[in-house]
Amino acid sequence: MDLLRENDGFFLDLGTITYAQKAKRLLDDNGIASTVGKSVGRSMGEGCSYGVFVRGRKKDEVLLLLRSAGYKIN
Amino acid sequence: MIYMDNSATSYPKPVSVLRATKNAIEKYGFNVGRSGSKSALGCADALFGARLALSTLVGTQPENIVFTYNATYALNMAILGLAKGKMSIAVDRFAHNSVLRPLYRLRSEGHTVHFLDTDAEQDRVITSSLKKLLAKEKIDLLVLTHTSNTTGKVLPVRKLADMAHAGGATVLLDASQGIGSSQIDLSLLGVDILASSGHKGLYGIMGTGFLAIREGFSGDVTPIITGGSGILSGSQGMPETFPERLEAGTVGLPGAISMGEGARFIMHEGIDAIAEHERTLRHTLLSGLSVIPKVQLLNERVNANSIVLFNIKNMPSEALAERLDEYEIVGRAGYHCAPLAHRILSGLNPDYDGAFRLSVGYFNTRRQCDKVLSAVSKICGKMN
Repeated sequence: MDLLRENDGFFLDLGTITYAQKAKRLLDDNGIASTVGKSVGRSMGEGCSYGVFVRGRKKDEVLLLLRSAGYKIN
Repeated sequence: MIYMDNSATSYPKPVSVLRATKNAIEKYGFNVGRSGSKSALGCADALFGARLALSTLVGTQPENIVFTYNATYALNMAILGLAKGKMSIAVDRFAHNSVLRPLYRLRSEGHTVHFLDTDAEQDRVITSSLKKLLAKEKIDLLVLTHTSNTTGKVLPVRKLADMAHAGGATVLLDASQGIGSSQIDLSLLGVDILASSGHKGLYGIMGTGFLAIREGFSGDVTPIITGGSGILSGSQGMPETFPERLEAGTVGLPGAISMGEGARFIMHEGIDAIAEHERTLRHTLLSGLSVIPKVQLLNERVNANSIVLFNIKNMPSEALAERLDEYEIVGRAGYHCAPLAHRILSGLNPDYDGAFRLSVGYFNTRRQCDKVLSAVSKICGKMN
């Protein structure tokens, strides 16, 4: 999954499953296909974190859209 | 069976709600927010859909919807979670025990609770009472009942909320009775937090409720129930983000799905259409009861949607409930868990001991109303 993320698209960690689901709906509404996934490589102490995996779109375009909707993404 | 106790729990449920709930039980058996499996993510998607439907109905963001197990849980979470220091709290007298008992608890812990004068029919009594109170002291929290579960009276929420906000108070609304048949929107009503059951006007299954928090609300609702949240597992406290902050433990997914589907049903049918249907049936019942000797109507002048409250002279309300049960008619006798509201109705009558409530719903019919009227007429006739 990590290799796929690196080679074919990008994964944005958005924190909770609720925010990830909300982001997916927002991207859908704007014609950007994405899938919700769990963030890997975090310590167990951090617990679960989720985000969206996007293919075939520029990262800057997606970041701009999500940030304009209030998402704080580093 | 003729069911007219929809103010307690709506019955039957829309077919779409039954189908969605059954589907959730069969297919969505995986914890949300704890796993990355496709199965769990499918459940998460369904749960988010329910959040989205509810948030659309009440005018907030999906992450501001907190699923609970009924309105009582939601109200306790809000009232006890908002309590900080020694607060001054105001509440109307229509309040249900799910509001009153947490407030009595806070009062026993040193908080001050003011009971606003509330009239069964006139709005100006409560607005005047709040105005006087605010002129005297600062109120930290105003708890309002949207619709009385006893008489069906709707309070002037927007006006009261604006007055309270001008004085710096947080406004919490118990929307359990109004939701589904009144426009209940956080921003339109100007309230900060809304608590509601899911099993009444929302048509969800029993054991469901939710809290909705206004977008931009900056107050803190401290979790009174803590536990697993799926995130920040190494932390000793609950996360700051909503809804996880207030959703400790596994969410009752089938129940949440049922509420979400209920919200979609309401938006599809239209709140105005639902209200109009209920008002028409209520009018039929009121008109018919008003001409039956011995019937004492108690809320006929209230501009209500669905509730008809009455007694039969020289018959306890519990006895009337039993007699109507023989005709397979279900209503509700007693105080309806709202003792202060009944005190308003009883006035100075020392013999008053509750009343019988018929609360019609969207699935009741004119024919059923006629059967109820016939049964009440026969019961009264046998008393002669």
